[in-house]
Amino acid sequence: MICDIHVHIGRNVPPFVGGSDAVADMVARARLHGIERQCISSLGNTGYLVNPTLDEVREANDHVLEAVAAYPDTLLGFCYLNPRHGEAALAELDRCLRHRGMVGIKLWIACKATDPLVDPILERAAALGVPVLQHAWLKTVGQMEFESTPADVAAMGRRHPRATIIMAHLMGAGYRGILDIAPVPNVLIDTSGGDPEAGVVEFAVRHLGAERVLFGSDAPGRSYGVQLGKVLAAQLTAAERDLILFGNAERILRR
Amino acid sequence: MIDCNCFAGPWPFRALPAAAPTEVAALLLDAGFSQVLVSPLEALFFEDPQVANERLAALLPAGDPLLLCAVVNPTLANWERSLAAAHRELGAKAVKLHPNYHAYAAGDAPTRALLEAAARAGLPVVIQLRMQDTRSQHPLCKIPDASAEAALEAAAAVPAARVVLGGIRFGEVTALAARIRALPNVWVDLSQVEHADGLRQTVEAVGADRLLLGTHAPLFNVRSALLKLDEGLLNDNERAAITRGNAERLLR
Repeated sequence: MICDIHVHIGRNVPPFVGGSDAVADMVARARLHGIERQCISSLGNTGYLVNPTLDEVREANDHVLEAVAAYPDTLLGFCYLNPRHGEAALAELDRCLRHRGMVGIKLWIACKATDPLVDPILERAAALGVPVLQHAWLKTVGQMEFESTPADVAAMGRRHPRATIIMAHLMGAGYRGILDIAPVPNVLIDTSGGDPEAGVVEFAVRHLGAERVLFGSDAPGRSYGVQLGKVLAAQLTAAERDLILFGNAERILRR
Repeated sequence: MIDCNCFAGPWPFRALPAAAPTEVAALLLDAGFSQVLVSPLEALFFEDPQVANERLAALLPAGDPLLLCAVVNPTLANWERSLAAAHRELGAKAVKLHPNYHAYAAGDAPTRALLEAAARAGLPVVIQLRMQDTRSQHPLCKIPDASAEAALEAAAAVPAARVVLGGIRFGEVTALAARIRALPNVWVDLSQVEHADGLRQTVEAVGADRLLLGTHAPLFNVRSALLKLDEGLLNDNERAAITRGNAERLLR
């Protein structure tokens, strides 16, 4: 059993070659590698929406709910929220997590992790015991407006010590970002995205412990296999690998 | 299997799990490769990459599974001598260009002149478009990607040359597929082609006969390159072509 903690769907994602439905294709493609669980979110049905309207958020989350209903044994839903929606964002959180069975929250780049706008969402997540998957990247070039860095996520983790925060994108964090979150035990990291550079997973395990590293792919923009190769190629013990591939996900997704 | 895009030597920005040629060879042989086109990482940074070629060649005994892919900078005054020496004295089986690290455009006259000379020598040329994600580079060492379009222009201008687009990305392949298909002297290195359906779409877009298995090791994990193959839904003929047959024709 392998759980992929970071996957995106969207109605704009075309079917794979020879397929008729992208979600079905992604489920099948992941299974080629033994990935039997995928935590999915949608950042919008017309593309990745940086600052979506409330309707756009709801439509994206509705697509996730449909997909989870179609593959209940495989897909787990993460609810995309725009913290700028205030109380309405909390209402959407309640709709998706309290009433419709989603298991986590996805925050992207509508605002930074240091913005007080995210605090009510983090407080609600902590109260419900669900993880927050927070995008982060520390870029030499191309840092986007309101794009959180690992240092921003570390600050978020310090403000909300009861929340479980999964910082996305190991290669986006890089070595500096791993060190930034190391002192904040409630911030974990996923291995998704970026190139399959050798040695980075080992560095993360060395400084965070295997209990704070989760396998993620960022498919379909990235390949399940290439991203899985980061973990399978890493010099780890079997117990460390098992934690990264499914043990940690199993622990934090248990509500 | 044959790896058409591999490196050896130290990388200044982080420790690699394998750097010495013996370590790189062990990594690749263990993964099932029998031949590996390897070029020196030092050549990206040395003012004269030929010194790096010589240092690597000295560590590659005859019969070694690692085959030298010599790095040449066609803007240096000695490039023709370097190319000839790499071929005849160092036993290079191919040439690699790093236009971005050596600060020239892939479509410019020096590249075309080198392609003509390499064609006369019977050596294929890898035009390496990038080494790493620009977003993750050292903040004081920003190396923009080389242009895939410019590399194709150079290949089109020298039809006798055999040109490999090294480190090309999935989006570039799909955007340039028609152009690649129209140029029978162009091959695509798969080492940085990535998307959940990326290999299958690349096969459909340019044809399996143009694709070369590359690992980008030791910077990238070899396992990732192999799992990418598994994800491509390849039939036996496509897999054989990508993992070996196309490379054998390239290196004929």
